[in-house]
Amino acid sequence: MWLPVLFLVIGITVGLLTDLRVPEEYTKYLSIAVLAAFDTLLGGVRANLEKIFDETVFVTGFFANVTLAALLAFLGVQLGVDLYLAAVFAFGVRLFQNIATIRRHVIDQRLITRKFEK
Amino acid sequence: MRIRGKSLLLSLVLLLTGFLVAYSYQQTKNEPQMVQLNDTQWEKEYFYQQKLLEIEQRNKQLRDELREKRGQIQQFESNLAESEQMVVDYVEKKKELQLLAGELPVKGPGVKVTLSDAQYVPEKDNINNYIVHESHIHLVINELLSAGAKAVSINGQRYFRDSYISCTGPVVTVDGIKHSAPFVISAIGDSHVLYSSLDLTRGVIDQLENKHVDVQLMKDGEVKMEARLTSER
Repeated sequence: MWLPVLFLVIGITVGLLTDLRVPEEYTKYLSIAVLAAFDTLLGGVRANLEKIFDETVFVTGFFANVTLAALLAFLGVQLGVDLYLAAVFAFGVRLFQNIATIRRHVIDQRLITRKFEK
Repeated sequence: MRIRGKSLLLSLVLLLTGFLVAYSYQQTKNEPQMVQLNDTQWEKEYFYQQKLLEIEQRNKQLRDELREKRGQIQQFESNLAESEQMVVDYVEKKKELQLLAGELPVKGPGVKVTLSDAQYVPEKDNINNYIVHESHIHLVINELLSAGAKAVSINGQRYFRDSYISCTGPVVTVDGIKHSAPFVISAIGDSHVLYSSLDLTRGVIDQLENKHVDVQLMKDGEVKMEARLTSER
């Protein structure tokens, strides 16, 4: 379990130390990518709790989501429509759903353990 | 092996996620903040800026005024100094003129010439040829004046440019005051020059000696002359 944590720390430090500046117009894509990554992570956690976790789905979902979100934003920019808002919307909703599911799972676990204690 | 692969994949995803999050955080952190102003703020800003401009303008005006005033003060001061200098000059001039006109007592180095009648008069000669006449005094005084004497006095009485010396019988009258021999003529000036001009060979002294007048000539380090009293004229 320490390996993922180590990698996370490494990623964060690399991100903080990177001196590369993304141009002004690409910051949208970056934020969208971040949202997608969060969504995928939380989805993975939820799937893990529901015992239907599949790493292939997880990894492919991660990359696909990030790429697709960026592409969508790019398309929106080309068409002159704020399509990235749609991506933000979708990801936001999914995020909340996932968080709610995770919460319910955790609460259920707690309740079950309590009942057992009783 | 399976666990390992799983954890490796998870690590990769986490790495990417962390990188993305940190990077975007850094991006947004470094972005310059746009200052949004609403209408009232604009109004306020504009108003204060106007006020600042006004005040600065006023400041500039006042500074100019101050400089101008300072210049004026300087002008006044220099004028004052000039006028003071003028007053000093005038006072100096007045003193000089007063000295020349005999309204102030004067003193200085000079010479003293004493003319007295001959001691010895042969029987057959006329006595007139053995006493001091005003022409002799004229001679001495003219010589002294042409030698650059600044002040001349006869028996202590100042001699001026408009003074007259006349023969009135046995005495000599200077400006209406009678004097009798011996005549002490003192002059203030460069004593050396005065002395030598009188003492020239075939000069004034020699001429007077030939006319049987006793002449005593001496330098005087401090000749004093009293101021002329108004009652003298």
